[in-house]
Amino acid sequence: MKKRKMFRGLANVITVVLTAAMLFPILWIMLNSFKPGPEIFAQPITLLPEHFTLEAYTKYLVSNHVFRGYLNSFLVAMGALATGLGLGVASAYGLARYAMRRNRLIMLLFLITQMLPASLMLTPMYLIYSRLGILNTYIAPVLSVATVSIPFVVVTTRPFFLNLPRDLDDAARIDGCNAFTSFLRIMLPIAKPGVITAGALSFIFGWNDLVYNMTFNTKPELRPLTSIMYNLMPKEGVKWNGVMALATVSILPIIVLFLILQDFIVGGLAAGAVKE
Amino acid sequence: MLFVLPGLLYMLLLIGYPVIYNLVISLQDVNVMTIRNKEAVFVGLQNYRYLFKEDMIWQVMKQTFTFTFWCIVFQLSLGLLLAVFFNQKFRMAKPARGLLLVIWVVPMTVVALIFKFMFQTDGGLINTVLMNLHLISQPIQWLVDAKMAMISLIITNCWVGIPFNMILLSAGLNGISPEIYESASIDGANGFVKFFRITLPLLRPAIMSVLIMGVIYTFKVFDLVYVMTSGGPNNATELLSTYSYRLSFTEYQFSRGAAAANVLLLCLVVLAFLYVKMMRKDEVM
Repeated sequence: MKKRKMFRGLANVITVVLTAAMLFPILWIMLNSFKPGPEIFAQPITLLPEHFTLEAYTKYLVSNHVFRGYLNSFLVAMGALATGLGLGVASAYGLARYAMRRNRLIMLLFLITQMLPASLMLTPMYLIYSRLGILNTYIAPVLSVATVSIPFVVVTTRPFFLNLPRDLDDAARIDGCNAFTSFLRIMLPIAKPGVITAGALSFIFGWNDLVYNMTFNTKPELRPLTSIMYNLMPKEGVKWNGVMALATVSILPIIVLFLILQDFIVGGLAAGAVKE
Repeated sequence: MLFVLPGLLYMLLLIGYPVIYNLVISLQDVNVMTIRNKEAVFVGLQNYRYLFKEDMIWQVMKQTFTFTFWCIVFQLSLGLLLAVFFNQKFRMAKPARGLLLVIWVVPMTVVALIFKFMFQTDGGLINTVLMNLHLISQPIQWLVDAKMAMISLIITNCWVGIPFNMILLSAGLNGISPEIYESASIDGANGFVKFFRITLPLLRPAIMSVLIMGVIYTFKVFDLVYVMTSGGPNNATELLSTYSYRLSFTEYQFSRGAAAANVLLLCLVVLAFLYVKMMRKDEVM
């Protein structure tokens, strides 16, 4: 019994140290964003900013249109979320609710598309979008990011619909719902945890995207935070405190979002992974 | 079918069509000069011939496999270790498991920037710590030296991959009934035996699916490499994904970029095929 107790004590200590060490890099750039330029690479290295300053925030964020960047990131993320949920949840429901011979094949198609590399899509998409004249619009990155979020939504929400009792749907039909209203009014609210997980992650995919935005939208005023950051990092002479300030403000919203929905997200990822 | 159709159509239109179109482009001559032309010229396998004539594509393929291999080895083994550890009953296990996943939602752009900063040769955190611990006497040229740059990328990718693998494997571990462990304990099995005789065999399906997913996701890593090293120094960290991107969007040789992307796709198909074959063999046994 005593041995067991000692193990738990030790395990708790190891866990705290390990987690702190793993998360430290994120904290490290946040701390450094508050240091004045010369202090960042000064020896000996300082953990906490010795000369605390908001210079990086006041100097670089405004001049790099960070508010516009926020708006752009948000719009692309919301577009990916809306498209992903709208099409993905319906597909997941259809695949779970109606037994069809082709279900396995369709599911496989969704899974495969999720695994295709973005680099494979970039060249053809660029040429297609260029012909459609939607380069340098919000539509281009949203359309492309949604190809990642739709299959993801299908994979994470389908288990929820599979677990719902069929009688519930049948009862709704008897009470005068058609297939569509039954889906919207009865099934969707019950599958809410799954939908929340899938929605949050679709949003994060959109928020985190660099490659589609950077390739399709070259106009500075359409750049999301990730693109602005990339453009602040030339091969030589990176403005480290500016980039780190930008990184800090761009990850704060998703870290908060993640912490609020943590249980949903961890559970949802696990459910999707175990199922397939 | 009515529910499935819109999503399916969307994917066919935005994934299926580009995949096929990519194949077509790779057989044509589309570059910055000819992009405005109505009809692209069909050139057969010329783009592939061009790619394979150079040593570059072989080097890039080798680097892609090296990167993927070491990333998978470390993130799978350490992810499994953490999953088993956090599966024990102690208070901090659950919150730590959740918190570590924060790493996974940080954009790759930021991950790349964090590690580029920490791997700086002069005054970077990692060299400073190693020097102060007297583990090294000279600063390591992390992102300057060809070999070290690849190692830096692998370390960085594992930082993201370990928590993710841990979560997926934890889900698999939860599926193993505790009764099996209890009866093993009664039979006198120690922790070591339990791990190799019970955990590993029962977790095999979960490990296999995490493995194949990991391989596919690592094989196509782009943002991390592009932001952290952009393929350098001296192409030492150029992967198939970044190479294809460079051909298309830096050199504007769209057809060559498309051809390189198809080489990437072909590698993935071969890997997937090997996986399916492996699974079949498993079932027969």
